[in-house]
Amino acid sequence: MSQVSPDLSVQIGPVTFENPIFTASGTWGYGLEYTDIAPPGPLGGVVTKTLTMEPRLGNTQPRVREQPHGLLNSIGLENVGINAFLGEKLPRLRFLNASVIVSLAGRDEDEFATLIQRLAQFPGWAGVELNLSCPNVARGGLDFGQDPVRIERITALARAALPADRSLWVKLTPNVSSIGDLAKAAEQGGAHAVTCINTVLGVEVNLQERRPVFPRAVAGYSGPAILPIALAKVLETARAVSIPVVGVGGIGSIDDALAFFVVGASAVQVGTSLFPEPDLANRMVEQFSARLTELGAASPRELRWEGLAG
Amino acid sequence: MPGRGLGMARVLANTGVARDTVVLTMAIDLPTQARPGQFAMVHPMRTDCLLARPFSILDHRDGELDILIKVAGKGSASMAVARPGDEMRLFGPLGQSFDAPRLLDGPSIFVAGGVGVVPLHWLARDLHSRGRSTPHCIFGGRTPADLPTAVLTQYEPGWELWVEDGATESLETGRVTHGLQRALEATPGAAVATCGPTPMMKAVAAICEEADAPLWVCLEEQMGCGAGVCRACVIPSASGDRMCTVCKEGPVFAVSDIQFGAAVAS
Repeated sequence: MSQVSPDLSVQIGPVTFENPIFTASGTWGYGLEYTDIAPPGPLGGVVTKTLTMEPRLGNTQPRVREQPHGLLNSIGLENVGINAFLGEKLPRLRFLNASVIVSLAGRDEDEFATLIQRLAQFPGWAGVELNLSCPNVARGGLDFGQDPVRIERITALARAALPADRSLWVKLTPNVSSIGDLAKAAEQGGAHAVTCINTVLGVEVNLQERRPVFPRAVAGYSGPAILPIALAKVLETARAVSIPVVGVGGIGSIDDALAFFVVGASAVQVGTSLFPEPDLANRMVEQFSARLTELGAASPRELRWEGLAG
Repeated sequence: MPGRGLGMARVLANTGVARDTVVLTMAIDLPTQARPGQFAMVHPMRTDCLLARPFSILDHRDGELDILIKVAGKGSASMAVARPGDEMRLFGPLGQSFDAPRLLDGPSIFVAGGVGVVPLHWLARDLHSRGRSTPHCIFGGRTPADLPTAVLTQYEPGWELWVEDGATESLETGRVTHGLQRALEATPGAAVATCGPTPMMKAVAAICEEADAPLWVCLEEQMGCGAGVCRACVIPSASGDRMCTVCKEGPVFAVSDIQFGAAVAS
């Protein structure tokens, strides 16, 4: 009996990606750091480390602290800046046939569009993901990301600046009472997809010294511990909007990834687990078809829970 | 970046060498020969340890790697009781080795504290056995029980040993920095390499600056990935205009290239 291999492709806005496995921003560098053991080409795409207009040095030490089932980080958006990315990184990603989603963070509402205009002068990228929800910077980040009105405005400005053949994703914070309202605002502003979720706020305490461990006190929590939280937020978001939802948070195996499709995701991003297993996303792409077939599904879309609409 | 391997390493032997300290000999085929100063990320393979841990490589023979483990937390504790046949995920070799001719050609003084002995011990043995130079090696531990004697005796010219407590006639009482000062007086113009606890390395750096001796440091820092990606283990460059990753641009640095121990403004 011949078996048709599952259809893994996913369309997000004007762009069709070969498969729905992406790397999450900040967890796989610029997609160029593991080319010897895990090339970016076979992935659905690489979401880059968040880029800003100017290079950023980031926060003071400590920057990461391992927890029993997760990781607290306070990196502070250290990055090379958009110009170095365009000059040094993007041409190499293009050469490697990587599908690239560029993560962007602006200092104010207008700067997101300015970053996109800069990017628009270069080939070799499929879309952008607006980082409206980084908890580890003094300005921006959560300021933008918790306010539906600002999300809609920034998304609309970004969409207006974006070339028509590129995909616009907006990454949302889970640290609000209604992520569905944020998602609706992004949809209203013209986003092609929303990415759920950014890190959950967390604190580690130094009991001896009676103070938080991180200089900024609150850090971003990620890793296996947040998988159920991410699934709940994706479920809520998928019910709130009709644009695709990109699920991210705590994925450590192919079955973790597939769980996101059940609760309404159209694509997933693998994040923190790439630190100990940098080839994890690549292995998941290889395992994807066989696991879908085992589950009797012809495409990831068939995994979607029937009760989701309710 | 070229020559790294990612795969399962099988434990061949677990040898106790000091209090809470073992040497794990592991079988793994790596694409290139590791060099002193380089390290491997090893995952303890328990579900409550998310990240792999960096371990400086003690020796690398054909298909076999030695790492020294001192129990510091749950990850190292479970690795320290690994048995032959156990498997752990290993990524390496990673980082830069000691490669400055000024240091390798000697005269040189190596100052190690605790597990910081690992890269310097391998480098000293390698230089001596190839007849390139014979570093004056100084090791400090808290007590005699902290000295990995079984390892240290592998360096033929011997290590000058210092303990803070419980000295016997073959050991000197005090800090390695005393030994360093004496050695620098005896060998003016010597280059210095150091690896160990940060306060010790800072004291070494102060002495070397005073004596105008060139210094290389092998840094230890909390790491998330070992590949320059997570940006956890950064230290500011000397000019302060960029961050250097200890895992990728280090762990060996000429101290003049970095702000050693400096705090960073965001």
